Amino acid sequence: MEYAIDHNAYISTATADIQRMYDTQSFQPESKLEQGVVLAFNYPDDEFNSIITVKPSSFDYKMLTEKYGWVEELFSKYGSLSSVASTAPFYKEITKLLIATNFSDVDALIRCVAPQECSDLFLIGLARLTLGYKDDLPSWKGYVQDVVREATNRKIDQRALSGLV
Amino acid sequence: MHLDCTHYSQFEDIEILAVAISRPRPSRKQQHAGIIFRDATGELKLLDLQWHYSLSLAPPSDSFIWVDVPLDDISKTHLATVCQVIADLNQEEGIPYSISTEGASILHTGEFFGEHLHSGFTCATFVLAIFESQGFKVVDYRNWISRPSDKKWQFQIIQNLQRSGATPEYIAGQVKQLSAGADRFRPEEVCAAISVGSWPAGYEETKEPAAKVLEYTIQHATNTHA
Repeated sequence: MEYAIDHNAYISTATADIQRMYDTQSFQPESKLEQGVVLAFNYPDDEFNSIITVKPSSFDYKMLTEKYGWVEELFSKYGSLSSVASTAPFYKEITKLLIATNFSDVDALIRCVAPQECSDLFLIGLARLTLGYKDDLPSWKGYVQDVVREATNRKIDQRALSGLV
Repeated sequence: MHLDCTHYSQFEDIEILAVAISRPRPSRKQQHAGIIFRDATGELKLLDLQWHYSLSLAPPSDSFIWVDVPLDDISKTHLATVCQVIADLNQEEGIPYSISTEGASILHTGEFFGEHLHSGFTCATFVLAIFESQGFKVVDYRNWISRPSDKKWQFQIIQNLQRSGATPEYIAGQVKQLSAGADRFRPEEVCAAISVGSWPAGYEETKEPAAKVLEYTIQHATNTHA
C-alpha cells in the first residue's frame, strides 16, 4: 500500500514535469514524435523499479482529445465498431476534418490508433476512408502496412484489402 | 452472379448491401440503379440519384431487383456506412445529373466534387463513383466502348435537363460533352460489372452478364405491373 502511495506521487510529479516540458516546447516536435519519453524510477530501499513510457502517440492523443470531444469516445469504442449505426458518427467526424483539410490532425489520429485493438471494420475502414488523402497523410502508408499484417493475423478475407495495397 | 427480386425472395434477405436496378415504367426502355443497404437504424434503404440534384434515401420499392455484391462483409459494411454518410452530406444540396462524369467524383469523404460546370453523374455512374471512392475500381474505363444509341439517349437526357430547369450554362456544358463524346455506362452494365467481381471489368466482360441483368429486370417489371 505504501508503494502505491509513493508510486502515485512520483507519477504525479513526472506527469507535471512532462506537461511542463511539453507546454514550454522544450522538446522539438520531431523528437516528441520519434522518441517519446521514457521515465525510470528507482526505489532502491524497496528493491522496486518503475518505468513510465510516454509514447509519441500520447502527445497526439492528448492534443486530439483536447480539440475534439468525440476522440475519447472513438478510442473507447473502436475495438467494437461493427455496424453502420456505431461507425457512421465517427466516419462523419473524421470526414469533417478531411473536408476542412485538417490533415495534421487526421494523421495524428492515425498514429494514435492501435491496429491490433481495432475492430475488423474500423481497422480496414479507417484506411479506406482516408485512402484518397494518403499523399497528405505521412502516417497512412505505415498504418496500412500494419493493417495488412493485422488482417493477415486475423485471417480476414483478403478482398477487404482490395484497392488498399 | 446472383440476382433476386421480391417474386422469389424478400428485401429482408439483404443482410448488408446490394446493388439494385429497376425498370420504373415497363413501357419505357429505361432502367434505374441504386444501392440498397441497411442504414444506421438497421432499416433497408435505397440510395439513388433520381435526377438533377435529386438524391434520395428511402425504403426500396418492389420494382427493384437486386444483385449480390461479391465482397466480404467488412467491405460491405464499410460501403453501407459510406452510403449513410453520402446521404447525410449530399441529400440536402443534391448532386448534379450529367451525361459526363469528367471531373466528377464522390470524394473519399463522401462529398460530391465537380471540377467542371458540367460534372455530374447518372444514376449508374453515381453507383460506380461510390465504389470507386473507397478504392474499388469496378470498371475498366480504357476498355469501354461508345455505341451510337448512347448519343441518342444522352441527347434526350439533355433535353429533359433543359425542360426541368437546368441552367443554360449547365446545358451548354452538356452539349459540349455530347459533341466531344462521353462514354455511357448503363444501369444493367454497372450492376453486371459489380456482380462479376473481377474488377476492373471491361465492356466485353460485362456484356453477357449485363444482358442477363436486363432480361431479369424486364421480366420483373412485367410481372410486377401485370
